Amino acid sequence: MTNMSWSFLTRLLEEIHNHSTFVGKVWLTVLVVFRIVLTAVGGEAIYSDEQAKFTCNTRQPGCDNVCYDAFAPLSHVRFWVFQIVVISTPSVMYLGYAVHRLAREEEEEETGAAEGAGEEAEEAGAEEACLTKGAGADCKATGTRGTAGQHDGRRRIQREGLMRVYVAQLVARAAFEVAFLVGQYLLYGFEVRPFFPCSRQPCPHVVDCFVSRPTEKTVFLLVMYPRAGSEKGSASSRDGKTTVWI
Amino acid sequence: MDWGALHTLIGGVNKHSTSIGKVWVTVIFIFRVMILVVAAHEVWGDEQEDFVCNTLQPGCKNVCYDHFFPVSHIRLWALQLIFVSTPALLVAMHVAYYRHETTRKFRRGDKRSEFKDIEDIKKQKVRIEGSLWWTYTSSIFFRIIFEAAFMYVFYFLYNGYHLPWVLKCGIDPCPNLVDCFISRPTEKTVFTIFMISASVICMLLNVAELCYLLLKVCFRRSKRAQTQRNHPNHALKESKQNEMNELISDSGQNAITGFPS
Repeated sequence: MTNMSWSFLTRLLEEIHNHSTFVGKVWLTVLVVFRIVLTAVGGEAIYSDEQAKFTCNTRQPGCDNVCYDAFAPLSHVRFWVFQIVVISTPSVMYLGYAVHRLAREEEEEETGAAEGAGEEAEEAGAEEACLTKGAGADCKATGTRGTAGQHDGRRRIQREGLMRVYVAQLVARAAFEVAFLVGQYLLYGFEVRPFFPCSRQPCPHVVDCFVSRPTEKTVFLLVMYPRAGSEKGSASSRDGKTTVWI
Repeated sequence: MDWGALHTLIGGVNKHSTSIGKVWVTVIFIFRVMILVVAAHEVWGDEQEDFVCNTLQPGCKNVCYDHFFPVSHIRLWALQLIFVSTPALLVAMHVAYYRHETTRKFRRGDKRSEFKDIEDIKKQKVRIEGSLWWTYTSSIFFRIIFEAAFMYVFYFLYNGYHLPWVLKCGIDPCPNLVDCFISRPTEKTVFTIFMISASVICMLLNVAELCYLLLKVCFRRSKRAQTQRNHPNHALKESKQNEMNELISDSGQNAITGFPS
C-alpha cells in the first residue's frame, strides 16, 4: 500500500528524468533509489514501535504520552517524507512547465506546417544553431525533437529557452536541501540518545524516558544524511558550470 | 483504500483539463493522497490504543475517546478527497458520451472527413466548449463547495485545528473530571495544518480555474461581437456555423441541412 502510494511521486520523477541534464538524472536516481526506498523500508521497520516502546520511569498516567510528544514533536520518518515531497516540488513544477511549452510549440508547429513556410524556417534555424555551436553528432541527436516528448540534455534544454527555468528549479532544490539539513540538525541532531529526561505536566518530577532502538536509528541517520550532503555538492558543482556562460 | 483506482479515473479526466486543472490533480495526489497514505496513517494508527486517561475506571477511556473523536481525522480526510474528486467523474462521463456519439456518427458516415478511424476519435483531445464547458464549470464549483464544507466540518468537530495535550473528560462512567492524554498531539497538529493548507491551495486553484474559464468565455464573446461589428456578413455566417456545429456535436439532434456556409 505504501509502495503503491510512493508510485504517484516516482512516476512523476521518472518523467522528470526525460527533462533533465545528465547530473540531474544522477541526482534523481539517487533520490528515487536511496531516499524514498530507505524511508519507506527502513523507516517503517525501525520506527514502527517508536511510541509503543517509549517508556518513562513513572507510573503516572499520561506522562509517557506527553514526554514522547516533547521528544519527537515530528517523527524522523514524517520529516523525511516532507523533505522528499518539498524537494521534489520544484522539479515537478519544472516538468509541468516544460511539458506545457513542448505541447504549445508542437501545436504551433502543426499550424505552421499547415501554412507551409514555418516548418522550413524552423529547420533552417535549427541547422544554423547547430553550426554555430559547432557540435557534430550531438546536434543530429538533439535536432529531432519530440521523441516521446523528451526534452533532456543540457543542449536541448538550452535550445528550448528553458535553461533559466531549469537553473531556477535547481537553485530552489538546493535551497530546500540546505534548509532541511539545517532543520534536521536543529530539531534532532544526527544522533539519537538512549535517555530523554522529561518534566512536563503531569509527570511528577524529572523522569527518565527510554527511547526505542537508539543505536539503530543513529546508524540510519548517518546513512541518510552524508548522502544528502554529497548529492547536493555534486549537483551544484557540475550544474554550476552550465550556468556560467548563459 | 484503493487510491490507485481513483488516480486512474482522475488521470483520464486530466487529459481534457486546463493547465490549472492539471496542477490541481498533481497537488491532490502528491500533497494530499500520498501524504495521507504514506505518513498520516502511521501517525493516527495508534490513536485509540495510546489515548490514556488518568483513571482505572473501565469504559471511561472508551467513552472519552468517542466523545472527543467522533470521526477520526484520517477518515474525514479520505472522505474529503473522495468527495472533491467525484465531480471530475461528471466531466469523464460527458467526454465518454461525446465520444460515443461521435463514434456512432462516424459509423453512420457523417464525420468521415474529420477523423480517419475510431482510434483517432478516442485520441482526440476534447475542447472545453459548449455543454462540456458547463459540465466542467459546475464540477469545479462543486469541488469548491465540498472543500469549504469539509474545512468547516473539521473546524466545528475539533474546535479549531490545534490538538491539545490534555483533555478534561467527565462523562459517565468516569467518576470525576479526569485528565485524558492524546497520542502525538504536536505531530497531529502539524499534519492537520499541512492538510488544511493543501486544501486551501486546492481551493484557490479551483477558484483561479473558474475565473479563467469565465474570462475565456467573455473574451470569446467579445471577439465574436467585434468580428460581427467589423464584418457583419462573415461574422453572422461564422456564428451560425459555430451554432450548427455545437448543435450537431452536443445534442446529437438532426443537423440543420441545407444551410449555406
